[in-house]
Amino acid sequence: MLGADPYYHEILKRTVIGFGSMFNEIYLIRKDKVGDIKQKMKIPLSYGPKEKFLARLREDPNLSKSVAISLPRIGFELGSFSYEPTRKLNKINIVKIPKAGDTKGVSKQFSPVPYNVSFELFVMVKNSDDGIQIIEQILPTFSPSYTMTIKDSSELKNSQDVPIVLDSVSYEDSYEGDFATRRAIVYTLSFTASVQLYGPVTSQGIIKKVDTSMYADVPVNSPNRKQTYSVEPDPVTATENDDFGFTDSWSNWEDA
Amino acid sequence: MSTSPFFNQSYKPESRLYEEIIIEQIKAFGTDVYYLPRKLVREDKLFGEDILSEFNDAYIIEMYFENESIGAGEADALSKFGLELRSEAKFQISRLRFEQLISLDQNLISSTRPNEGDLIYFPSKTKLFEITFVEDEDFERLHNIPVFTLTCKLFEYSNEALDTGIAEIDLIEDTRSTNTIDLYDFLLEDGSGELFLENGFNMMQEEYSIDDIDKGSINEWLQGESDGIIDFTDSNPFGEI
Repeated sequence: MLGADPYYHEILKRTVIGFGSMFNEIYLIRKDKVGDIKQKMKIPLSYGPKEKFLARLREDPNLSKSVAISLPRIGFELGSFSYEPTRKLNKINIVKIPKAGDTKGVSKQFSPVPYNVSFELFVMVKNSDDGIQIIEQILPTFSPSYTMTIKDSSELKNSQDVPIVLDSVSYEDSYEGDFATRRAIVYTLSFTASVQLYGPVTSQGIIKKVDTSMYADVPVNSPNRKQTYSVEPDPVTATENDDFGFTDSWSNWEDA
Repeated sequence: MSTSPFFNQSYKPESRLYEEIIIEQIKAFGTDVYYLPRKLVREDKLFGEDILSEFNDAYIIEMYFENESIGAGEADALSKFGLELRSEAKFQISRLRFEQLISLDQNLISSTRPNEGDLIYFPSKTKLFEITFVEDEDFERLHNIPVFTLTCKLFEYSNEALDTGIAEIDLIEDTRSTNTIDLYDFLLEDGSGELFLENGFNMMQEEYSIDDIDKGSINEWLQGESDGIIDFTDSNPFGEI
């Protein structure tokens, strides 16, 4: 029902990559008592969901990892999808471009469908000071949104501006409790990215026949056709470089 | 029934004998570990933490570990931050041996006992534990409390300096620290200083790769992928290396 030809413009995957890449160069600095920078480190970033076997084999291949985890670090993950009707465009608008490698056809695509995609970003730190330093670098960028431009992989090479809105920031510090329980400081930032999802790209050849129907009493709800004017090349097999003429014809409709 | 009159509980030689027997037991059935006292470098009075802790000493000492396996505790898990090891261990250390070998260290906050926050390196398993709780024996035999029990969890590493002189311990910092200063700085030819960028940050060597240091991260992979699909003509909001 949805169509025979599979298509995948990688819009969502590219949005995930784009979202993650915003946070891949956040640095943390630590100063000594006199204010000299003693440590400057890039915060490791990763996409949360992954295959368990790969995670273990990559991060602890020899079962010799000496420490529990290295902190601070940032994780992010894709959340839910919801239709956003206020951004919907006229559904019969069509974008067309010349078909690649074919001078006789065009590629076309209908208007995209707007969806909101939620993301969550998690920041885990060992020290409170590290946490607020990282958060303080992120928050001013979103007022409350930051817009990035993403290119999709379709033949039409659409670029779309994707506003990413910071919806909320929450914070958990499990410092209370017995001494055997580890303290964890985790910030959770919730975002919404407004993306446009495009449908399939279809092809259209050269138009070789045009029919024009003419009506009378247009204000009538269902006007009847009076005449049809048709034009087509002569011969119909002609290409754009051939010497060709046109055949036109009129048809009168007596059922009016 | 009162206590036996034939045993004087405050008689020091008997008390000492009991302690020596405990030490002998630990030496016989325990294992050698390294005790790393924490040096507070910049204690934050507001947040009650130290962001620049260092571990510059390592004392080899025998301890008895209670768990049947060093990997006791919760199972290792995959979290949204990647692989997290959750091994726990309980060590017993002789009070006397602690006093003899470690208590004189200048960095101990409390010199009378092992300190929470100090580290224990277990060489045979190459695991670095953090002491989370120290308790003394709840039964006071012969007016003497010969051992401390240390509850430990695998250390959460956050770029602490490990300069103990023990190669395998210091290697943890060398392989896991993401700190760029000193390790990846461009130094002047005479070694007298570093090169700085216009923004005041140190110029880094090309081999600094967070993805190589931290096997769970994808910072640079994301940068490479996004170059072709993100139009950052305005610039990355958080700058570039």
